Amino acid sequence: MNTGSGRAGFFQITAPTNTSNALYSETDGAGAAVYAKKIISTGGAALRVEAAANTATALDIVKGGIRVEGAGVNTSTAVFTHLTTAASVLSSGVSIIDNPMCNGKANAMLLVTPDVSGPPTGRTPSWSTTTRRRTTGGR
Amino acid sequence: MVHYYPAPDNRWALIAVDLDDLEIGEAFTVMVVTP
Repeated sequence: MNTGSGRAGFFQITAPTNTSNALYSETDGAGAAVYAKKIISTGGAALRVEAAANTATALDIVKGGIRVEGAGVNTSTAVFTHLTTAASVLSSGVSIIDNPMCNGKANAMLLVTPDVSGPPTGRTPSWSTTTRRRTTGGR
Repeated sequence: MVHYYPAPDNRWALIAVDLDDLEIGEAFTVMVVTP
């Protein structure tokens, strides 16, 4: 714990030939092996990674997938489902994405793909196969 | 396609390639990345 300025911890390997991880943690319990959390400041990221070069790998997943906890229909998560509704479709062919993750962020980049498997649980698809095939997003 | 509508809207919108081809009840997966 550091109640002043500067880092709270620092781990470094100075030998370039050393292939060991500078920091390694593991657990047999249900908790994460590493958990990074910011408490007060909303500026900056909870976790930052920086490779030695732009073309080098900054994040390497040795095993397992990526989970966005709580992601669903219009959730405030990095990935969410946009479901077109009577309120969102303002004109023909235009559906407003009203989500705090991208509202007011003109420089954001949205990766959009049609979810042709159908809407989330509990809803009945309202489109035809022909319509579904011709609709495209994210280009 | 996606398009950003500046103030006063400040919203992104999904625009179908065929403007007559977006119906209520369609689902899209959206991932947001900021620079």
